[in-house]
Amino acid sequence: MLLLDEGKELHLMVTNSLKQDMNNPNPNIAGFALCTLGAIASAEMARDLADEVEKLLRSSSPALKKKATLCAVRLIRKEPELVEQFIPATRSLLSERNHAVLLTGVMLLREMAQLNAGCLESFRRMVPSLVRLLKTLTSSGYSPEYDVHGINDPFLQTSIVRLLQILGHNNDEASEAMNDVLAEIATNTQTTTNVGNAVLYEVVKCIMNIEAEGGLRVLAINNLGKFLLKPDRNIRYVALTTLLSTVQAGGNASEAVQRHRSTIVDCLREPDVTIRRRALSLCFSLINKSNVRGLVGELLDFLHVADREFKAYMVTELLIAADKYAPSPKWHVDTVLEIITTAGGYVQEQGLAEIIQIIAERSEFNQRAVQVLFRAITTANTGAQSLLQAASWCIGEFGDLLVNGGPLPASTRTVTSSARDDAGEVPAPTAGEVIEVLHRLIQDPTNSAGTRHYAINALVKLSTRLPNEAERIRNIISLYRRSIDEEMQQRSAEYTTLFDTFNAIRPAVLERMPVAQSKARTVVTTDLENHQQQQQQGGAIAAPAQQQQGGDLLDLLGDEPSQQQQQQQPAAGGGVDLLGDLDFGGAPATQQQQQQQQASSSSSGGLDDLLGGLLGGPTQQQQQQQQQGTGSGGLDDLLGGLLGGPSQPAAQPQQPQQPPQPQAGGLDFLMDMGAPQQQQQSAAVSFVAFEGDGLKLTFFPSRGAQPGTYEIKMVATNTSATQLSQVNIQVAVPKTCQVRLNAPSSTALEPFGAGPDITQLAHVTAPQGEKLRVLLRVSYSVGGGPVTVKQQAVSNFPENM
Amino acid sequence: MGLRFFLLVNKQGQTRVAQYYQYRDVETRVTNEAEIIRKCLARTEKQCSFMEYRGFKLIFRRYASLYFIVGADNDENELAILEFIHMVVETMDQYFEGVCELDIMFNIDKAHFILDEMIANGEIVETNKTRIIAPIRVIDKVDKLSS
Repeated sequence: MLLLDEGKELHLMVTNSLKQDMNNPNPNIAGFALCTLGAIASAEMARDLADEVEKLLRSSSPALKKKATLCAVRLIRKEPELVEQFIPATRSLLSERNHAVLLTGVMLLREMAQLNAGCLESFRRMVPSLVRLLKTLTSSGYSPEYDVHGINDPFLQTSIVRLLQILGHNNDEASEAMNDVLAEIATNTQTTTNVGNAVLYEVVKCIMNIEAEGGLRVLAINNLGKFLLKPDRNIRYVALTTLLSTVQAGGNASEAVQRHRSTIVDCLREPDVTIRRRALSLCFSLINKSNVRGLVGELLDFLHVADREFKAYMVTELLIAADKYAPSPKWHVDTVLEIITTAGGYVQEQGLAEIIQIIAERSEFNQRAVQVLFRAITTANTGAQSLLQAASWCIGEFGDLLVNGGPLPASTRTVTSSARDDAGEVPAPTAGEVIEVLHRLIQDPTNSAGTRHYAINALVKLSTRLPNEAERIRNIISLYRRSIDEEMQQRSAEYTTLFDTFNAIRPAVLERMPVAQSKARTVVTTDLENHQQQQQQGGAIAAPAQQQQGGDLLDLLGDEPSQQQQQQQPAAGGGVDLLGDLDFGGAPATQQQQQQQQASSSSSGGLDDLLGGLLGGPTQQQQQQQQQGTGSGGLDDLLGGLLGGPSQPAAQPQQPQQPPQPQAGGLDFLMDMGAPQQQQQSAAVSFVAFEGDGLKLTFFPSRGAQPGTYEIKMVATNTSATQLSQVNIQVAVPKTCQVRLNAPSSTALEPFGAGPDITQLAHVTAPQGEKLRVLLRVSYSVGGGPVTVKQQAVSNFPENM
Repeated sequence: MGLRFFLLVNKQGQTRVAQYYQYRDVETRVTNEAEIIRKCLARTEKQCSFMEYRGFKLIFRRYASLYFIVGADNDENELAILEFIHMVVETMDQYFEGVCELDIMFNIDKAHFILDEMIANGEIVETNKTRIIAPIRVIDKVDKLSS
């Protein structure tokens, strides 16, 4: 075996002499021949010498018998057809008294069962005798011949159990027959020595693989749980490996594994990396809804100290787990913040986009997010690019919340209890400090290009969030018009132009990003809804002139001149790109205009006109509705008209109240295209149901599909300068009616309608002929102060809804 | 398929005994051995004795300055193999009466015989020490007579 390969010529010549030796009456010589054959046999030799081996298999000498048996194993491996020939010889093997022959005999049976399905079937009949054999082994007292540390021939025991495992796999009857003996071994084997554990381990593996009853499986898993508590690392290793394969195989066993969760988590502190890796995979596969808080907390703790090679894997898995099982939005945000602050360098691009998305979606935690991230990048000199990028994005978006939001929270650790060393609150940074931090990010040569791009985008956005610093930001940005980095150069030039030439629209351009649609699925449905509504509203056909206008605008902004919102949306979806924003805004404007079916009047090709046309979209619309039919005027004119929203309703007597969005500022309205309500609003009847303390509640009632059902959409906006929180809208109806309220979209409103509005749907069922009236109860807190509750009856629902 | 090889290596990384139960040509053996030995020697006391390596398992056990390394298939019982290594050591100890590296170096043939009696074709054959040693004692007698 050491030097001889099957292919060598010598092989052929050996066959004959082996044959002679095997026929030699001296058992030693025959034994040597068997050993040699067992080591070097090729398929040809196997065929030639099978008869001799079979003969020796029946010999009376155990020394020859055991060698012949293993030789047979080799032969059938080389030439599976020979299995048939050895079947008769196997019958006597199990009645043998010599343990070595039994051991090799069981081995032969195992090999045959695996090679040949017919054998597997017929061997199942042997299960009772195997069980008897196993029972004798375990119950008989001390036998000096084969005793190892008080266990009677553990090697034979494990070998038999392995055979049982093969026989019991996917077979109820055989499994049933071996249940008792396995349970007996699992309970009685002493686990103080390695041998005992070896047998137990084999039994546990067997139980997992056969069709064992539930109780037995739980017993097996509990045994593994006991293994985990042992000081011996080898045993913990096998226990974790087996648990992992059990959990991954699925089924009802994972319940029992959950019970040993804390022990498994403890294994994360193991000095051996192989054990840690297994424990880690096991932890991730154990996470579910009920334990997500505790387990993810533990894993986050571990993330601090984890080996480098684990971190990227952990970050991905943690993000998935947090997304899947997050018990509350706050927890989710805190968890992702924790992930990115502790392992920012290991977050992939995909993960970064996800994290930003999570933060953006949960508007009530924007402030917290930006505070935590700002603190993370300022307290430690971190080189973690993903962290810097996420922080830049958040500072850009929510810079005002950072500066005006009060002291920075003490620690990011709200998820787990252990406190970090940098406890204590830090006063909020000044606007100057924030800009300084971002500027340093651009300047730092060790930062990646991507980080610098994030930072410059954040800076330009800050110019509207912190208007007092706009001049300084302009100066910083204009520095990079000569940057060697192409992207920086382009951005810098664009933004400087925005400052210099289009300063008037800059605030609108740099409005807060709408929450991107993260799931492709939602995007599709929104599109469908839009499309259907469009058709319902009378098959709008776009006027060519209008199309031209929208197209030009998009051209101008350097993107494909597509009219189709469906095509625009994905481009803007991931969007941190400012131009993306503009596209985003551009498309719905076009659509809005299309819906109006108004042939465009006289807007011509100049830049000012185009921008004016776009931004003045809603204004134009309104004007057109009034059949004024005038063309769009100069940019200033239109913007003035648009941004000075409140003056408009006066010009529109047929609508009691204009929809709130257009007042919020040009792009904000345009950007909100994702929400289908906009199309409806222009046509639907609406009125203000409540107004006070800056909170304005607009009703958009409509009839439901069934007669006597109504659907009232309630949109709350904030026109005051203070934030409104804990906004709660309740609707009561007379006893004859029924009302069902959907959950509101949020409970907080940013000043001046800067953030998203709160929308809530109420479904009212009223008996036919009864006039719709409701009792409205609104509660809110102004600037975090005490909660105010107001009640008001609303009965002025229009007849023609 | 059971065991793949049995290695006996000293602390300096020199192979003292090597038995293979699957044919490998000498060159791959040497390169593989070097890598495996390096991996095993790098393990500390605090780490477990099992490793996954190129699709099979390594199980090793250290006795003073000697490392016993077994390569086994993934479905093998690691703990049992660990126990088997101990059994090999006990058997050698019984035969050489206090085995040390030099005993094995100068009686390499006997060490191989012992292993051959215990493992054949990659499977464990015999685990009774007396029965393992018996045929080797016979050979010893023959040697004495002939010399």
